[in-house]
Amino acid sequence: MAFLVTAWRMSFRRNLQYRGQHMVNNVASAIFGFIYIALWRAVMAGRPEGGQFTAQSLTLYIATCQCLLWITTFDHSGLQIARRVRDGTIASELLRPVGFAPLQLSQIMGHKSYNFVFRSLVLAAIFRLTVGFSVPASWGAWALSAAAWILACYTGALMTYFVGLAGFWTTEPSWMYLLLQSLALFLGGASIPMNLLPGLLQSIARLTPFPCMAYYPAAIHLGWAGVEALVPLVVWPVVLTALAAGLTDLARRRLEVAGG
Amino acid sequence: MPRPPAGSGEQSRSGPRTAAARPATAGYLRMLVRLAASGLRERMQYRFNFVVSFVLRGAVMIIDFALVAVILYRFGFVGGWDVYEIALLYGTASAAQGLYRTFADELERFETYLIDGRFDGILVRPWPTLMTLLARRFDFNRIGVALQGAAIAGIGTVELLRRGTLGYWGLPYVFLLPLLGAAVLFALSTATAALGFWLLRIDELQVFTMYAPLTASFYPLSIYPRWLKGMLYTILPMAYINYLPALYLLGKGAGPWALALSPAVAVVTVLAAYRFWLYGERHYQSPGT
Repeated sequence: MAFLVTAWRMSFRRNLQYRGQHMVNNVASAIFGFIYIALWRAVMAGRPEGGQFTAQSLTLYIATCQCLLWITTFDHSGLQIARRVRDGTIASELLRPVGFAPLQLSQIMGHKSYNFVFRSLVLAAIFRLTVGFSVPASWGAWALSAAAWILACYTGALMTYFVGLAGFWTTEPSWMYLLLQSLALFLGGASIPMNLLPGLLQSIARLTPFPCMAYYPAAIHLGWAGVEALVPLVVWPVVLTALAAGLTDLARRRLEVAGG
Repeated sequence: MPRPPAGSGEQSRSGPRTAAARPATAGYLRMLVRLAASGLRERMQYRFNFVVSFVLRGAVMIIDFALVAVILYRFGFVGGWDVYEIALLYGTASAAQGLYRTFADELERFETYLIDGRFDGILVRPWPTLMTLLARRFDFNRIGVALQGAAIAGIGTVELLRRGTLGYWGLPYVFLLPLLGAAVLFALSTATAALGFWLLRIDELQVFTMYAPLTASFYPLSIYPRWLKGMLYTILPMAYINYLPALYLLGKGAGPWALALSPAVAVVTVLAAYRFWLYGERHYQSPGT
């Protein structure tokens, strides 16, 4: 356990070396947020105010999702597993006396923790000063929101791990990352609230873990949903953790190191 | 034309410029075609990866467009543009991105050349450094993005022609748009890579100079705040790759000058970016690895 905590801490500290560059990226990320906010404002312009979805509520939603994406989805620093399979270093890593999956997940969580401090919070500040950023209104709402963000982060870590695991089967797992990102934006609700999707797409989205990466935590954060929205945020990480264990075992058995 | 060794002054870094250099340029183009063919053969050694990557990269773009289609299905218009008009913007910009990444993908990983010193090796090759860099890898997986972008633009164009919103006289210009876009993206990427001669790390900067403006070009620029529009018309000139010509082609404003201005901007940005690359190259300091 101590080793995993160390791995988490080292991953966090390694990212500190690149703070300056990440600030440049934060500006770009804020611009992405402004683009989608402008899109929604243009869509809602001239429509009657009232109801859950207004130009302002959708602005706050997109701003929240843009911050959430940094702890759930944007993480293509990746695990470099495809490279490690190619150069053979993966073999010694699999021989370590610590589980491969827990170690990778600790490192991913370290990276995501860094992203929370140096990306999500910075973006939240930028949005707060420009278009607005909602904060929970009570201590209870803060606690609920914090739980949702942590569970979303862990779900995102597992999804990042699956992308990395694809490196055991393909030399180019980058397309998996792109697919994950697109599905998080679309089915996950990062660009459009899930309940604005047409019926069939909404039903499909509800059956996937993607809304755990954006819609559910954002809805809880904004007070659109209550404690019941935590249910998928608890269930999916459990299911995905079991799946990660199974897939890791499968990957270990099919591993064929190409070099080294 | 053999180039003097690196470090012997501007002439050594600026590539063929004179009439005597023209045969060398033709030779370079022949070499480029051969390298592209060998790059494709290399890719085909991993057929499964190639096919899956080809299909999925395109699929990702279609999912992204589906998002816009869903919004428009529900709400009708975005800033006065309907789904077919936005398909024209989205498809041409995506096709431009696919073309640019197919032929200039190595610019996207230029940072690694600067950090591990591989740019030293490029400096001593007998070709202009930028061209040598580009010739190192062609990413044919990205053709899928270009083709599927073209398909989305095609669907929009056919409907706009049917309705008469777009005249048949504008059709050749629609075919030109992905090329204009690829040229502007190439220029932005080259200029960003050139900044690496001073900054070293440019990966994160690329998101700001390339991908944020590219995403902005998927939608009508009229919806953006003034400061963002200002950037897209000036330092990150994505307005010219599709929006401004489309305004005139679809009868939404602008004048015929828009059709002349966009290619002019593309040419000027490419030339300016190349000049900047040559200037930056003179400031390159090898890490010595």
